[in-house]
Amino acid sequence: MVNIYSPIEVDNDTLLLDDEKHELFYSKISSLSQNIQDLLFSIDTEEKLKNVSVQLRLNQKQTIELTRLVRDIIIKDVYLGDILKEAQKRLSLDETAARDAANKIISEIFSPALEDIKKLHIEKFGKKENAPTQPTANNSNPNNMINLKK
Amino acid sequence: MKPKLKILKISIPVFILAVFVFSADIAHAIFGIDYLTNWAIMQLILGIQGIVMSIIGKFLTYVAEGLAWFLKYQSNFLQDVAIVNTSWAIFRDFANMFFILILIIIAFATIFDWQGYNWKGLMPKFIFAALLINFSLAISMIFINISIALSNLMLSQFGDITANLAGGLGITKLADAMTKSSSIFSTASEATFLSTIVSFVGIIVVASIALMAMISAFIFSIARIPVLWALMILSPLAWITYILPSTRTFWNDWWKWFFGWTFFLPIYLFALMMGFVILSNRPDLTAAAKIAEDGSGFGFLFGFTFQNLFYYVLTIIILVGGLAMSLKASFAAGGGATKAFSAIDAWTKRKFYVPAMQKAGKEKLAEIKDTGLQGKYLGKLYGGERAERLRTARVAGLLGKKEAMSEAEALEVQKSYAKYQARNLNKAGLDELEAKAQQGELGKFDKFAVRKLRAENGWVAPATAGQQEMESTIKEAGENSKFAQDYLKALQKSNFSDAMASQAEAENLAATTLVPLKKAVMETMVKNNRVLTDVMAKSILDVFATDSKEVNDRIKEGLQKNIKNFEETKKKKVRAAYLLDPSKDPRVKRLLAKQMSEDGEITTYQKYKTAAELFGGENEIESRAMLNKLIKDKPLAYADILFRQKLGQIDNTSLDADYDPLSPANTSPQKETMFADEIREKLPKMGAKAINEVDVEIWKRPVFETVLGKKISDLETAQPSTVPRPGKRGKAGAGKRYIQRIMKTFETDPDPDKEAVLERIIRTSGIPWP
Repeated sequence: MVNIYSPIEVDNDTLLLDDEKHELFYSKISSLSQNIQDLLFSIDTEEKLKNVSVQLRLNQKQTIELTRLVRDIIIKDVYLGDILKEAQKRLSLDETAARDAANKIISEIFSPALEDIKKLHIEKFGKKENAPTQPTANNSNPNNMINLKK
Repeated sequence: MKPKLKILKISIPVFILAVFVFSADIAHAIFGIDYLTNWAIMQLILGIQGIVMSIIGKFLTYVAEGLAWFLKYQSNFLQDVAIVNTSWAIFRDFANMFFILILIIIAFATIFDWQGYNWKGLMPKFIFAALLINFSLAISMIFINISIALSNLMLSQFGDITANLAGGLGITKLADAMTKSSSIFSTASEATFLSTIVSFVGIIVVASIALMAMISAFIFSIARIPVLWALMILSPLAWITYILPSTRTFWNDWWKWFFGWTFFLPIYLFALMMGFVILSNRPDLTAAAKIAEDGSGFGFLFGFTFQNLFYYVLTIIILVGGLAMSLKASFAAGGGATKAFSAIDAWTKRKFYVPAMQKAGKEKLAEIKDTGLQGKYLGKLYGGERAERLRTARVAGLLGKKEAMSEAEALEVQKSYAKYQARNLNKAGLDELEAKAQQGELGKFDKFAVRKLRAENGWVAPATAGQQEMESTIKEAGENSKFAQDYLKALQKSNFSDAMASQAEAENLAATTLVPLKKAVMETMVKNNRVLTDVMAKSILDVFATDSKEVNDRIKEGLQKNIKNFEETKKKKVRAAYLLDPSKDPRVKRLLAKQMSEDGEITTYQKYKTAAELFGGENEIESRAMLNKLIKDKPLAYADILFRQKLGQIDNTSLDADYDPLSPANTSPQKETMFADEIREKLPKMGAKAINEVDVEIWKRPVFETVLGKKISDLETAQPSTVPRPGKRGKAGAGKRYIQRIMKTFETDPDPDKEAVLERIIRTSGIPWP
């Protein structure tokens, strides 16, 4: 039975059948800082993903996509700044719900290693002007931009 | 006549007349005839005229009375006349004899195909005539009664016919005129002398013509009776003559005459009636006569007024012309009657599908002509052109063309086939025909045609009945005949459908002793993947052993595709055992080896060697193709082969398929090292799936376990796994990941022996697990 809350194991069914992809995945993991790797292997991350899924009332398919999204952002396959867009697209949510999901991911799941993640993303993706913002529920960021420098 | 004599004959009476008419004065002057003599001559003329006219008048009256009486009672002479009834019966019976003769004529005409005389042209007429000849008298009487009714209708318009016949037509006025003219002409004057002569001649002429007309009408009326009698008596003969074209003119003539004589009288009476109506209702005629009496006015000429003269001419026209016109009209109606009969004839034919029946009859006749009469016995009576064709083929066969009869019969069947195919019969229809065939009601070729249709549509009876049907058909046609081949093709086309509905039925049918049928059944089973045992496969290979290479290859190819359906070779592991079982049929094993090679199931040297031997040696095309596939897709199988080949260079027995150099009894460190070197070289390039695909016999070799274990250890050393901590899962190292991937393949392709090996490797490697 696949653990759908584990960013490592969520795609084991397909990864384990493809030697190359499996090794590539692990090579990406190995290139990350220990802090971020811990995020991936943490049971706490799995719990948080479970909570977010429950809070947002996501079904199994959406939950799997949520876990994948978290994984892909951590291993730098997806740009952090695109989290809202990706949440909307992968989870099939409206903007409000997607914004809520993205907020939770960032504030609850990424929080232990958020800065490291930002740093790595800047290194890989560079600065992106007018990128989709970190969505905030209370409009504390009037310009609606993720400030990766902070 | 010479022209001069002619002129004399005309001129003399004219001269005499001229003398009396125009030269009275001169004559008087020349001949010195005085007025006394004039009066005497006039009196003489008048006297003669009176005698003549009284004779004519009397005759006219008698004739008129006679005619009137006859017209009144003419029906008595036509209805229920004993002699007519008796004579008609005699002629009817006589005519009935001719029907047999006519039938014979029709039969001969049909046989020799005389157009217009054969049955299709004459049967409707024959039946029509045969039915109506017995009513010919009644039919005639119908028309006669119509004529009598019309006559009576006309007669009723006349009232007192005798008086009106003479009086209404002005014949009495003639007499009056005669009397008046004589009194007019009594004055002794030159003019009256002249007019007396003229009136004498004119009155005689008119009266004579009137008398002749009346006599003619009377004679015709009387003559009509025996004529109609004769026509009624001859009516049966007329109906007989209707049938044959050459005698049909008599039929036409009879009707022309019958109609003519039947209806001339009412038409004549109609003309008389019209004349009577015109003449009796003209008041100015009386006035005209009065003017004539006064002798004044321009209209008085020769003792008659012009109008009076016209009156008498009109009377003559009605008398004479009416008779002529009625005869002409009635006979014309007779001709019209025959045309009407032709139109009725054509309408009746169309209404009662006669043209359709004729066309159908023509087609049926053509069919009988070609194929002969149907049925077991009738067929022998007349075989048609078919019998001739078959005789020709038989002779050709005797003279050396062996397939002639077979081809001829196949052609005959094809004709019958086309006929039945055109009917578009369904299963029930063909079942019915099959039942008839089994009862012997169909000829041989029809039976074969029906069976071929059943075969094509897959409607051959199931089980034993179907087998009997097929076997009997092939036996009767000849196992090697062309029709038998066609029949088998038809069966194969429908895959034997109902006859091979179940596997048991198919296998029973395949057990038939008729070789052509057996082969057809087996081919169909192969084609449809219905060979389910190696015994059946062996039997099929035996049956086709002597066939052409093309057929053999086709059968083998089909069996190869079937091979995974065999009970004995359904599962992968069982197939390997089958391949290596020396008791199994090599032909079947060869097919299996080929299929296993294509499926990548040749995974050890032993299987390779066994397969290569089945293919005829390692240098054979199939063997080399197998090896190429192994090199590409099965690196460890190739490693095994290379190991054995290298070993074989040292010890030839190592090349034996059944020899296991790494068995506990045979192994040695050197051999193990050789083998380990081979697999060690191949292993790095092999993914988890490829590792799983390595034959279990190789997995079970301790050398393999050692080499694999070493590989995993090396991987784990390079990237070790992390041990799980509280709140943290362990990160899988490279070795662990390798094992995870191999284990994943076991989910779809489990093998307890391989899993056991892997578990041992995990235990000995120290990798944290799970």
